[in-house]
Parts: sequence; structure tokens; C-alpha cells
Amino acid sequence: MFKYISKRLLMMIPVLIGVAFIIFTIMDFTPGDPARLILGEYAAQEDIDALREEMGLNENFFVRFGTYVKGAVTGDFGKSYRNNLPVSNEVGSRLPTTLKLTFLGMTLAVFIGIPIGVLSAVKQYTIIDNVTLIAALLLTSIPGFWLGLMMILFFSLRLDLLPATGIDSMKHFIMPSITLAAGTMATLIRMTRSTMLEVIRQDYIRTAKAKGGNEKRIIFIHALRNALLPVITLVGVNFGILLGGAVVIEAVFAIPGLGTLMIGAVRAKDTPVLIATVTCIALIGGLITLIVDILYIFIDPRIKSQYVKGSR
Amino acid sequence: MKKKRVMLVLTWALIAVFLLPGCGGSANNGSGDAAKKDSLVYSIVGEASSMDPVKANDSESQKYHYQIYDGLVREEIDGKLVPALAESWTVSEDNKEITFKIRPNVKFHNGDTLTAEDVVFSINRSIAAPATKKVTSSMEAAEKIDESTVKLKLKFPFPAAIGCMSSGNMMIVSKKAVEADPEGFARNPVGTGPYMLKEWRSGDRVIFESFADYYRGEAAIKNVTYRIMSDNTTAVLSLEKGETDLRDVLQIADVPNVKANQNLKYYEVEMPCYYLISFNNEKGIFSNKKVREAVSYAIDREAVLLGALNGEGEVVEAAMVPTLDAYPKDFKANPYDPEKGKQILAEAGYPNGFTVTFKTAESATYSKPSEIIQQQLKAIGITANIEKMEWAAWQADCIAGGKYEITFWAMPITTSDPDFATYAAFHSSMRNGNGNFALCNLPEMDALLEKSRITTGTERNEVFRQICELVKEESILIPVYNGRRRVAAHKDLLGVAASPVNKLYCYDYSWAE
Repeated sequence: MFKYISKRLLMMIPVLIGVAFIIFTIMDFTPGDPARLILGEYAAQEDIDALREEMGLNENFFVRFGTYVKGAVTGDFGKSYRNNLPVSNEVGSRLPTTLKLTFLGMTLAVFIGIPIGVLSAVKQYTIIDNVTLIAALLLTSIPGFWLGLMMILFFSLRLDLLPATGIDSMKHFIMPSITLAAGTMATLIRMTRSTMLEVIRQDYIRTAKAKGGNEKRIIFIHALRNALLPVITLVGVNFGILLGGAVVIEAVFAIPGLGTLMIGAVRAKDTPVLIATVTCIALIGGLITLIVDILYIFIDPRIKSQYVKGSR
Repeated sequence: MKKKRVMLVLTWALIAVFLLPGCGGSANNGSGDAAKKDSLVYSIVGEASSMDPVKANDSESQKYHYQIYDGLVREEIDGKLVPALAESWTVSEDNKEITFKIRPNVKFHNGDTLTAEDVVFSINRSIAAPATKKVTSSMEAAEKIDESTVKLKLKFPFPAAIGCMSSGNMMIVSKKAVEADPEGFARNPVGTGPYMLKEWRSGDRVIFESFADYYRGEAAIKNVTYRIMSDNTTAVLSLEKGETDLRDVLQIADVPNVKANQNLKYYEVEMPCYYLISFNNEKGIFSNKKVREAVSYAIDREAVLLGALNGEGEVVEAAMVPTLDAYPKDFKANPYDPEKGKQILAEAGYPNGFTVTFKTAESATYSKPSEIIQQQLKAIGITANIEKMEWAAWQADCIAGGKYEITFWAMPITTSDPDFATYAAFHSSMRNGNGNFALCNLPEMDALLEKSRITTGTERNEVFRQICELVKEESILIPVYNGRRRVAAHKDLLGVAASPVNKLYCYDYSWAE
């Protein structure tokens, strides 16, 4: 088990370097000069050249990349081109906010989406099923910014229940988390529903019912556990998507998170910040995938047997 | 099956009931906090990259600087220059030297007293910095004459130099503080301004606190918070909710909401800017003067203004910022006459028109008018293919690199002097990314520009009129329209006005009793 985990962790290192390499290359090939963007449209060419020299932008591509990786390995992620602050500070100050938002969103999606999916499957073709299917359709189709703005309009302005923008208290996170969770919630509802429907039809469920088992126990312990595998995969994948995709939510609710930092870095051609942010997201995404894989072991004894020693 | 249908319809009805409250106007529900008297929350679009006045030259960063620093001269929101850290000044006969008398007993945020050394240090530091060239290009050096006198030497006679001293790049900093921590000064500024930087939460907000020993007396509002909100719709919602009190950028679509809201007040003023069509005068198809002239007859300015800003702006006919005195009154550009345009195009050798690429920045401010102009060009036979480019890329190609044929751009000025709208834009020495993006190269123009720098008084305005005439004759670029600066604020916030020079001094604000 430990061997497996450490192998997975080691495998992440080339992935991260690869991500950094891709970002570096893309930033290099896109037009636009960070020095010119710092000094403004009317700066003299000599000043721009001098600043480029100072920033080390005139070196060969591989030299620059090598210097960056060398620094990153020792914990020095360089300084932001835009405001000269250490990148680790910039990312570090926003990471907790983004993580909080993503975790809350994911928790909402899981704890509302999965039970509703189960309910929908068990009560197939009733009004509950129809309502949830339409709700899921709406949640997927509604653009995040529209949902967010409508929520602010309704809950913040009309009803005066919740604060509109910012991150000062837990209350501030309610609407952004719901908006963020919306799309994933819909996917989870439908996925859970379809896997549950499949599982409910299986022979072993009929056997359990025939044996006279408690209805709730059958649904949640026997059926759901079997249906959970694809759903958990979805949760893992969507976590990565949510981490990076919160940009719109952050703009709508004025939340200082990683998404806003990323977009700002792209616009200012701030390569150090961009690489650090994207690599950070890749790292977290990779860790979540690893956790999901480990969760499989606990859910499905068949998979567990492959990893536990001495069971062959 | 019928039962299922009915169920489905009922379900939709249920959902619709929940969505309905979201439609329609927003009822005003601002929470009236009486304990707000001591604080102001200002929702600002961008975050400052640095609090060091010589490191940041974008207008967003400077909105922060104006609260914590003073310059020798201050530009009031009506454009007038008044003494600030300099009590008075005299200009030499040849317009090449300015002598400032420094105000005594001015304190820095760290308790030190302002000295002539701080002034000399700040000015020379600014002159040496690469990011401030636009403002310091005329300046040679500052030197201390005595404890309360500083002389600024200019490289050439420049009447607009006093205006430059009010720029955010020329604010006075504490020499001791900068020398103690040159890198950290950007986050720990020490100035003489009405507010001190209390806390900076990256990406979220910047908190200012009033400075008790400010030379003009402590500010009326003790706590000012800049909350960073990039989205304009969110900012208006938070204004309506009462979470913020002031916003200085508004979308046109939000203006009716703000005007209708009982708790908010709306202000607008013409911008010190104009929007224009620029040609590459040096290379390509528009290097032919007749071709440019043809385009000048094809532009219906009213139509472009209507499409771009819903008519909320003014048409501009002369190549000069309309809020300045130097704007030539009753100047008329070539009239809208597509037939004549077609005719001139034929004379130029293109009776069947031609195809050209119209590069534009992707932001709606520039791409929307570009599309309207595309239609107008079609009417005289020119097929313009619009190429929307990301900001940095467009800047590299059009503003700096001269790699374009025709584009849509603006001429904003940050200091209220016509020199900033003409010299760098039209002088042949300013090509190669130094401001002459139309790549204008006319000895006649150079002569006029140089003359404008040594003439004073009403004669100077006459020189600028001649420059506008020359731009019209050569069709170097075509001015089209000007927009408005919009501000929305809580109705009880006094002292607010839309500033054409984009300087909102929180020092001037107070809450109504």
C-alpha cells in the first residue's frame, strides 16, 4: 500500500515538470512583452531592453527554464513580473480561499447531489424523478455568472439575507459555493441516478430484498456502494475542474482566489506566477486523484485485494 | 401518459415560480448603516502593482497613490493646478528652469519633516526611473538651492512642465524610508498625503487610515477601504446593497439602474481623451495620402458614437482632446460623404476598392466601434477584415511595432496639457514605440510641435490649431468621438464629482449629517 502511494507521488513529479514546460513554452510563443506591459505603452525602447536584461528575459529558452526549475526545486518560485513580490506569497495568500471555496462547493455537490440521485433512481418516473431531472438540466445549462448574479439580486438585495461580495465570513461563502457546485451537482445527480438504476436491477439486490432486508439498508449499503465507483471518479475529476474553473465565480463575487490571479498573470504575461498557479492546481488535482484511487480500495473489496499483501 | 404530461407541466410551473423573482428590476434594499460616518468603501477595478510612485504608471495604481502622497503641485478635479508641497514657484525667462519654494512644517507618515532633500531625491529618482518617461522626458535634474528652495532644470523649454509635477509619477517620497528599504518601499510607502497605508490584502482590499498630522488638517473620513472588484455588474450590485459607497467605472447598461436607485447618486463628465482611427502612414496601402483622405469622408461619426456608446458621448472633429482649452473651436473635419470618398479612392488608383486587415483590441471599447467602421468602409469599397487581438499582442503589433494598416485607438492624457496629446503622437523622433503609433513623419509637423513647446499664452493655442489643421489635411489619423467618465456614489457622500482627470481625492469627501 505504501509502495503504491509513494510510487504515485513520485510519478507526479514528471507531470508537474511537464506542466511547467508547457506553460513556459506557450507564454514564450504568445506575442506580448512583460517588460513593455510593466513600463507602459509609451516607454522608450532602450528602457524596455534594459528591463528585459534585468529580468533575464533575453537568455536562451532552456537556460531560463532550467534556472526556473532549479529555483522551484529549492522552494524559490521567483518573483512576479508585475509587482516583484515572491510568487510563493502571492499564491500562498490566495490558495486557502480557493481551496475553501472548492471544498465547500464539492461537499455541497456531493451531499446534495448523491442523495437526490439515489432518491431519483428509487422513485423512478414519479414527480420527484421529473423534478430532479429538470432541475439537473437547468443547473447544467445555466451559466455560472448568471446564476451568481441572480442569487446576489435575490438573496442579497431583495431579501437582504446574505452578503453580496467578498470573503469576510462563512456567510460570504454560501452563495459562491452554491454557484460553483451547481454544474457538478447536476452531473452527480444524473450519474448517481443512472448507476443506481443499473445496480437496482441486479440479482443480488433482488436476493437481499427476498431475504427481507431493511429497505434503507439495501439501498444505501448494498446498492449505493456498488454504484459509487463511477461517481467517485467523477468527483475526483470535477474537483480539478472546479479548482481552475472558479474564475468566473471569483469575478462575480469579488473573491481573491487563484483563478483571478491566473487570468491577471496571463494578461500581464507574468510567467512565474502563471507557472506556479497552474502547477499548484495540477499538484492538488493529482493528489485528489490519488485519494480517490485509495478510496476505491475502501469501497470495493475486490480492488482492495489487489493491494493488500498476502491476499494473493 | 397524459398523467405524465400533466406532471411535467406542473413541474415546469414550479420551477418557473422560483425563477420569476429574479427577473425585473432590483428592489432597493440598501442597509442604512448609521455607524458608517467614519469609513468609506470604494470599489475599484484594479489592484495597484506597487505603491511606489516611480514604479507604476498605470492610472489604476495612481488612484491609490493620490491618497497617500502629495506632489509639489496638485491638479484639482477641474484641471486647475494649485500649490501643494510647493507654496509657490517661478519660471525662468527661457522656460527652462522652475524654482519651487517648499512648504515648511509638512510631516511624513513616519513623523519626519519634509525637507528640500526629500524633494530633490524624489524628483531625481523619478527622472532616472524607466517607467516614468512620459512625464519626465523634459526634465534634466533637480537641485537643492537652500533648505526651502529647489530648482528643477529642464532639457528644453517646456511650458507644460508644471503640469507634469502634479502627475502621480512625481509624488514626493521620504528619502530616508526609500534608502532604508528600496525593495520593500513598494509595499510600505511613506508619503505626506492625507492617508496612510494600513493593510494590503493581496487581491482583496487595501485599507487606508487618515494621517492625523496632514498639513491641510486631518481628513473627514478616517477609514478608507479600496475593495478590488473587477466585474462591473457585481460592483453596481454591491453599491445597491450598501456594501460599497463609491464606484468610478460604470457600464452604460448599469446607468439607468443607478439613476433609478434612491440611495445612489450618479455623476458624469467628459473624458480627457478622444477615440480615433489610426493609419500606418509609413508602410502599406495607407501610406498613400489620398487613400487616407478617402477614408476621412467615409466616417459617419454620429453613427459610430451611437453604436459604440449608445450616443453617450460627443463627436470629436479635431485631433485634440476636447476638454482642453487648446481644442480649436468650430473646427470641422471632412464631412460624411461616401460618394466623395469613393471618388477620391478611384483617383488614388483603387476604383474597385481593396481588401485590408483591420486589427483591433478584443475589448468591446475598441472592437465594437471597429465593426461599425468596417461597415462604413464597405460603403466606399474597402473590405476590412477585422482581426481581434489580445491586448498584449495588439499593443506589440500596433502601438509599438507599426505592424498594422488601420486600427482603432484612443488618445488619453493624464496631465492636462495639449503637449501630451500631440508631441509624442506626431513627432517623427517618437516613432519606434515611443508614442507615434501612426508613424507620422512630416518636417512641417515637427516644426509646429517644436514651436508649441516654446510658445506661451494664446499664441500656443493657435499653434495647436495649426497642428489640427495639418492632421486633417494629411489625414494622419481620424478623430471620431469621446466618451464620458461615470461615477456612482452613496447619496449621502458629499464632495463627489466625476473627475475628467480621473483623480478622486478621498480627502475631499465627507458624510452628510
